[in-house]
Amino acid sequence: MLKINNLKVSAGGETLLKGVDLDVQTGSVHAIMGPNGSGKSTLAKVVAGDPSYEVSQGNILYEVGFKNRDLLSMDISDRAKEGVFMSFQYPVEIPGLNNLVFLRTAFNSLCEHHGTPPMDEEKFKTLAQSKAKELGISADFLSRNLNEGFSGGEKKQNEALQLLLFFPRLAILDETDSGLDVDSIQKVARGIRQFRGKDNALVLITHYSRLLELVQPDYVHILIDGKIQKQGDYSLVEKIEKQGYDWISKKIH
Amino acid sequence: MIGFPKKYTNISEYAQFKRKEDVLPVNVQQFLKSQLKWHEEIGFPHKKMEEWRHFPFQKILKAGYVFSEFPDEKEQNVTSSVYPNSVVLKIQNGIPILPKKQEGFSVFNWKDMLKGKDFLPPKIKGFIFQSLQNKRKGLCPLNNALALNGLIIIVEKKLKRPLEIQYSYTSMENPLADNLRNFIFLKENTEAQIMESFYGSDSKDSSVLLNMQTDAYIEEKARLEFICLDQGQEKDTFFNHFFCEMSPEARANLFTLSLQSGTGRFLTHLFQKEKSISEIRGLSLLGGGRHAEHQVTAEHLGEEGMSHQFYQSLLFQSARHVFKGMIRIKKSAQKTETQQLNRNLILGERALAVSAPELDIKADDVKAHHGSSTSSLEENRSLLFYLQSRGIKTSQALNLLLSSLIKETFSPLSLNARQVLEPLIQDHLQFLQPSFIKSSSDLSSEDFK
Repeated sequence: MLKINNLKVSAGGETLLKGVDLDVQTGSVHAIMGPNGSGKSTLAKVVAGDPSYEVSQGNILYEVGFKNRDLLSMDISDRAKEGVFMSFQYPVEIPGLNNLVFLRTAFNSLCEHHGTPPMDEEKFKTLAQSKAKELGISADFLSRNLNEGFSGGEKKQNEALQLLLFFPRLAILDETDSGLDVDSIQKVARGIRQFRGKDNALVLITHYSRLLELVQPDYVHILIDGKIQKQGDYSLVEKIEKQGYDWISKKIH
Repeated sequence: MIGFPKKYTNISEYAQFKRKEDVLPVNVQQFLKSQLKWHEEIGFPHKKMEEWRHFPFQKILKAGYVFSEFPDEKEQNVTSSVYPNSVVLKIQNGIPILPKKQEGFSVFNWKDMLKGKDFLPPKIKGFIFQSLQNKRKGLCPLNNALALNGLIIIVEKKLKRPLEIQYSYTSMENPLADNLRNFIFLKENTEAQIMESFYGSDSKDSSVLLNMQTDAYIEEKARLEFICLDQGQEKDTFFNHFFCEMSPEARANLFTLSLQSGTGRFLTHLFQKEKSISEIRGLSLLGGGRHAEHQVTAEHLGEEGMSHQFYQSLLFQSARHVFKGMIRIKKSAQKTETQQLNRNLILGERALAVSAPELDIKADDVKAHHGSSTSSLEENRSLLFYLQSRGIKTSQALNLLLSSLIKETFSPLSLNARQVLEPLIQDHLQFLQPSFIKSSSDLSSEDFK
């Protein structure tokens, strides 16, 4: 579904990704781990289309209708319409923008792209409330302004709600578990399990093993200093948990 | 700065002619003369005056405004009302067209008072006389000297219908300068929603400068919602001065919406007695080379008063916005709570925002906050990116973002006021946005397809 080839990315004159290769197949769950500043979030944002970054080399191929498209040439909103979703590490607050209005606008943009009729206010509200209930989060979220006054956990729950509402083909969750308590992690994990399927793919970016224990990724990649240095299965997570990243860093240097 | 009709050699002659025209009583003539003298003493505003430093005087001079002569009294056009179910008070070409007697309020022409007619209760006359004694600066004395028309509105009950005052100028051959004088009086425990709209000139070849002065008095426990809507044309200029005395426990909700006039200058000054509460807000959505200035003062005279000032501007192309906010708390105004915030969003390469919030606090037991921020969309890029990453196309994302930013400005207004203002604001945003999209290198006009 997604193939990243020798991707080099910089921002503010600094090279952040130094040749990343990654192959994400439909139906798979990948975890990307690594120390702070290794480039994990950068990778997620470049795939989502954040214009703050400059791609100096490499490409990203994204499968759309059995054809591989050059993802980097696609507009931000077009990527989302073709099923690319990034859950933000720090979701933004937009005071004055009602959460339900935002969700419905985004949902209907996706509907329009796929040729399905937009959903009216009442129907969408019912849908959003049912998804909130599935996740075990309060429907009160919907009447508030987008992330305004939300705790860190609530913001991440709102991202998980979007995952279930928009049901993308490729979901990249950027440190979805950071700052969450046990209950919040359970709710997010619930959303991920509901989403996971043979027709989509998931990339989890995280420092911690807590969420990965609940989700059990198929592949684990360790990103250090802008490059994927090690790949493996879930057993790699357990090794990182016990030994940290030093043993990998030592091998590089 | 402003010309006068050719047959008069100077402004004094012009003013003298105006005073005699309606055979005004001697004492009134003397008052008008004294106001002109005061104006001549202080002179027209100029750039060296701190409060006028950023004002585009050249633009006004270039327009070549001339003081009005004798306005045509015929009702010439019909401007549809903005407020549903409102009572409309029209002032066309400077002449009030007053409705028949309505329930809950009375309205008179200021001219009738100048002519010496005695129809007002002593309390209200006293308020008017007191307002006229104030030695104000800027264009207020000139307004007092030359304004022969205006409205005196007395609210006697809680009004069931909003009042809508419309100022429009039609079929003018030359650029015109006009002065209007209004007084608004709310009796104890009454409530009124009043919206005044400046439509400017309907003529492509001409323009109008309206110099407007309003004094309002809100008695105890009365509530006033007052909205000033500037919908003039690009060539028009609107000077609006609004002074309001608030009795104990009075409430005032004021809102100014600056959209269209080429140049607008809005001065708002509240005098708040004990336990009075005010919300003073404004929103400027400006494009082209438009210029708007807001000078706002909340002056606390008595204890336990509250005031909240919040002014926002979105500036496209080379528009300019100046905010000068003052919170003044006298020593007698202990336990005052007050906030002041000015927020500006620069959306044009040559747009400019000037912000000068000020506090002058003499009491020692108060809560006072003030702040100002000016940012560009570049600095809010992460917000736009978030919306776009959810499949929302750029133009729609921009609209959502800008709409949400400004919603806060008018949130304390009544529901029907918000229902009137929101579509106006949305339409105007839609009108201004393409100029931003064209000039921004990030955004693609493909998104508008």
